Amino acid sequence: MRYLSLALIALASPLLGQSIKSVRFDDLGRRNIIVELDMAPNKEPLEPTDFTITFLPSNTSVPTASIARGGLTSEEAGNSTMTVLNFPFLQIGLKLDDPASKPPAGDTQVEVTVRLTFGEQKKVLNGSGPIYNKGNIKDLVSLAQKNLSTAISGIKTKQEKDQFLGLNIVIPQNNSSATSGSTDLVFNQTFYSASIGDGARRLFDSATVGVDLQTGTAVGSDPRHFDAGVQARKTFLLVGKSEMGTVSNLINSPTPTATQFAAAEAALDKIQGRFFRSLIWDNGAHFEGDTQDFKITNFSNAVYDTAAQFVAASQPFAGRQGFWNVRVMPGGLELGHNLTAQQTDNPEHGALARYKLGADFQAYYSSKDNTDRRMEFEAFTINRYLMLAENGVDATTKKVVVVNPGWKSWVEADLKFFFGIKLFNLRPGVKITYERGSLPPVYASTKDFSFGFVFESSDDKSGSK
Amino acid sequence: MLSTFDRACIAVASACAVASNFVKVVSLDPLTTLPAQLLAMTFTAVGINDAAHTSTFSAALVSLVPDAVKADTQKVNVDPGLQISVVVTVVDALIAQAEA
Repeated sequence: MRYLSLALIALASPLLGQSIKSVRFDDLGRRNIIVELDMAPNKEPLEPTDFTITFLPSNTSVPTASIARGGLTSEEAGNSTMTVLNFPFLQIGLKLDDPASKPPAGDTQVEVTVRLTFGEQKKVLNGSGPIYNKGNIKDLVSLAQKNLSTAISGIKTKQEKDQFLGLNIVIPQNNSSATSGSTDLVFNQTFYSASIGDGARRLFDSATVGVDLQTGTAVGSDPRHFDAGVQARKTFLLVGKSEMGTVSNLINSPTPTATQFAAAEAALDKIQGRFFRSLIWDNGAHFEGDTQDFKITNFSNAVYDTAAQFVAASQPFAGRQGFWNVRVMPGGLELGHNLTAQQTDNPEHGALARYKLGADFQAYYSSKDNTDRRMEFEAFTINRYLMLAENGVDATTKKVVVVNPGWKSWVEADLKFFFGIKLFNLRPGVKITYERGSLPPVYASTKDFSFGFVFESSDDKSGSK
Repeated sequence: MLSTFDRACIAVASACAVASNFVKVVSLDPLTTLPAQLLAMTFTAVGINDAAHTSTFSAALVSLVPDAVKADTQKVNVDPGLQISVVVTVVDALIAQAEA
């Protein structure tokens, strides 16, 4: 019983398994040591004390008296020592004019030992890392970008999780008694205008090449939607230029005044008073087709697509245990031409023109007990007005038919619950989905309510705090 | 005197506050935020949970950083599942390189 109690105390300790993830010393005009801790965030503050700093391989120790806010001289720093904890980072500054804070010639590493105190618990951590200067600072940029790529590659998007780990059971509508499955496959690859040149940066920020397939096997639950194409995105901030300029001036100033800090804090408060924060303008071209049994059949369209959407800032609720946000698309156009119409009941080769508008609402709530019990909800609608007659497919005869001008709507809602338990390195949850309406190019009438299980891998932190 | 790391932290925290009111910058000197351990959290956990909000974050970040690193900052791939500290490290390294 005693050992069990000790084990439980150890499991509850935020210091258990804690280590130093990385250490570096920046000897670049200012002198700073950046230590990154490897531990989960916790609501209680950590107190770092008892530093030991040693340059390697000469094994030269830095006296405690040399620690000050990075970039200050001995006179400016006085007797104060300076360390800042921006969890998970710990920044240790060294006096600029102190010879003891300068790494001896030939030293390439710095070793840091620090005692972390969390309430009644204490733990001594040790780590070492490179010294960066003008000669090798590009190595730090390369390492940081490599770490970013590695982190991104390990993240599974929501769509991938649903596709590879989800199991959807369709509740049959109409008179069908068969229980069937559904598929919602999305693949996207993004690249950036900054990689192309300044001219491209003026036109768009990023572009995505993607494939979207939505299909199902039950009557009444198959939107038969496929599209593939490229979409360029330009984002315009809807916040005051002067407020952003005030914050930017602070960041661009190595020695800001107290007045600049106060002005920047006031500017951020003013920015947060606005509801919509950005206008996103998407332009793209895509190929859309009728899917049946995972094949593109009947016909396909080539479409130019442009749309603008206003993005509201996420708003907290329940004491920052949750948030909600909305996006509104007041207008967009889809202009294109039919490419094929292989079946001949009503073949119509011609132009197509659609106006569209829509909205998206999302809400997220996480429990207070750090068990990762949470709820996610998303609902969106898109309404298209067909200005010209288009081809569609009759669900019964599978023949091409004419879809007359008018409104075509689509509504979709997803509700997910995760229970905060772990099974074989997976976090199980349930997902309830409702879909109703029709999507181009087939305009198959869809009315579907499905319930399924979702298994999220434990290493996926996309939804975790 | 702000280090490049301080400036990167302020830029990233401010850009988070532009995209999401879930993030509140309480103080800039020293940097104090709500939630307190912002940099250790993922973008999703602070309300930057889809492509529209990461686009807003990225546009804000690019507008805040020094001119010399705007182009490289625009190339930073921000995924909602990414821990915010990873972006801080990249921005810090870019500013340090530009001003070395």
